[in-house]
Amino acid sequence: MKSIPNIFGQYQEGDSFLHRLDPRTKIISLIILSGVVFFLVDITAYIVFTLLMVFVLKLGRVRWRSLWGSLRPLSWLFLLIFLLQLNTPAGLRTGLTVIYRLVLMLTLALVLTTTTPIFSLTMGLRKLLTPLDLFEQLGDKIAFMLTMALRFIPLTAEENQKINEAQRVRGVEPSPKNLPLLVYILLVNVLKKSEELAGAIESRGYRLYPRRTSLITLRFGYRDIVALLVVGVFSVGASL
Amino acid sequence: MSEIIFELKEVFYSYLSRFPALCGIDLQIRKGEKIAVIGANGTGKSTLLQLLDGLIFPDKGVIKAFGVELSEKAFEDEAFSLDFRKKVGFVFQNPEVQLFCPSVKEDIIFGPLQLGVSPELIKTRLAAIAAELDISELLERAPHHLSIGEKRKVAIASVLAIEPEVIILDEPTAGLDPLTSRHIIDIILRANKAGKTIIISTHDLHIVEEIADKVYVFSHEKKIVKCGAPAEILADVPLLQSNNLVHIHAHQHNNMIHTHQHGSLGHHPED
Repeated sequence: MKSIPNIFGQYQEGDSFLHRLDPRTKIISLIILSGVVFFLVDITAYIVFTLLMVFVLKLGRVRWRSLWGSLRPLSWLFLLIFLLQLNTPAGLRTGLTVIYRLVLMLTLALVLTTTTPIFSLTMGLRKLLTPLDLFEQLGDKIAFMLTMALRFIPLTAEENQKINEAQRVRGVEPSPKNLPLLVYILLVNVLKKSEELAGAIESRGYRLYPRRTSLITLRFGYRDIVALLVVGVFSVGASL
Repeated sequence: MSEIIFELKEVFYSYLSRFPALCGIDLQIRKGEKIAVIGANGTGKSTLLQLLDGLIFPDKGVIKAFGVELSEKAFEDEAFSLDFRKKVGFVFQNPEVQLFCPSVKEDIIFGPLQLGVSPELIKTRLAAIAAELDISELLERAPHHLSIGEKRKVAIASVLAIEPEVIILDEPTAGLDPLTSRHIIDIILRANKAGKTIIISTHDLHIVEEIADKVYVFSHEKKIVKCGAPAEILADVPLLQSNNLVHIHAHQHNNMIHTHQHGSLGHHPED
C-alpha cells in the first residue's frame, strides 16, 4: 500500500496558475484569507469559503491525498483543542468551529509553501518588508532573521534525529519521561551550531556593505492583479 | 621574498579563560604560500584558523594581517572590516553551518552581495564558479538536501565567489570519498596557481605533500613542535608518532606477523 505523503512546508515542482504567481501576491492573499476565516459566522459563509479552498487547491494542483497526509499528523492537536473547548459554553459547536478554522488556515499555508520555492518566499517577504528599511534597515534584518529561522528547522530536525538514534542505541527509547533530557541536549547542540553559524555569517561580510541588491527578480503580472482582485472581492463579500 | 600576510607573535588563546587552546604560537605566512597545519584532534588547529579569520582574538600576543593588528577594535572600523573580509575567505569544517541560505545559488552569492560586488559581476562569477566546480545542477537546490561532498564544494564556491587573496580551509577533505577528496584538492591547487594564499588544517598526511609547501605540526601542548617542508616533516616518523599522526600497525602476511607505520602517509613499506 502506498503511504500518504506529508508535504507540509515542502515545495512541489509544478507549473500551475499558483506556481506562476508572484510570491508577494500569495503571501498577501494568505494573510487576508486567514483574517477572513475569523469573520465567518454562518454556515453559508463556511460553505462558500470551503468551495473557494477547493478551487484554490485545484489551481495549485494540490492532491487531496497530500492534504490529508499533511494534516493527519496534527490530529492530536485538533483533538486537544477540541477537548479544551468542550469546557466552554456551547463547547461542541465552538470546538468544531475552532478546528475547522485551523484546518482552513493550515490548508492556505500548505498551498503557499507547496507552490512557492523557499527562496522566492523569502524574497517575497523581503520585498514586502522593504518599507521598514527606513528604520535602520529593519525590513532587511527581519527578512534575514526569518531566513535563518527557516534554516534552523531542518538543522534542528536532523539534530533531533541524531540524538534520538544515539539514545536508542544505548537503550533509551523516546518517551515523555526522557523529553527534558532530549530538549536539553537539543538546545545545547543547536546553540553551539548557531554560534558557528554566526561565525560563518560574519566571515562572509554580513552587513559590511550598506546597499545590498539581489539577483532574484520578482515579476508582478496580470495574473497577480486578477488573483488579488478575486481575493479582495471575496474577502469583502465574506465579511459583510 | 613575497610580502608577509599573517604574522603571529607569542599568541595564546583559551576557551572560557580555562581551557587552553593555543600556547605561544609564532608563525609567518607569506603571499602565495600553501600552508598546512597538521596535528591530532584538540591541538588547536581550528582555533588558529579562526584567529587568522578574525573571528576570535588572542588572550595574549599579537596577530597581524596585512600589517594591521587583528583585534575587536580593528574590526569596529568598517573600512578595515570590509577590506579584510574581501581579502580573507574561510571554509568551515562543518559545511552544515556554513550554508545557511534557502538555495545553493543564494549561498554562493551571499558573500559578494554583502561585500558590495555589482550584480553583473556576481552573475559572471557565479556562472564561472558553478562550471569550474561542476555544481551548476545544484544551484536551485536547498543546501541541506545535498550530500556531504556537494556541501563541501558549495561551501568552497561560496568563498571563491568573494575572490579573496587568502583561503583558509578547516579540514576540507574530512569524511569525503577518495574521488570527491581529489576534486577538492584540485580546486585548492587551482586557486593557489591563480595566486591565492592557501592555509589548510588537516590530518590527512597523504595530501600534505601536494597541498602544502610549508607544514606546521601542532602538539598536544597546543604548540608548534616543528615547521618545515612536507618531505622533511613526513620523513620524521618519531615526530608523527608522538603526535598521534601515525601509529604502528601489525597484521599478517603469509603466516608472518608484519609491522609498519600506519596513518595517512599513503605508503606501505615492506619490512
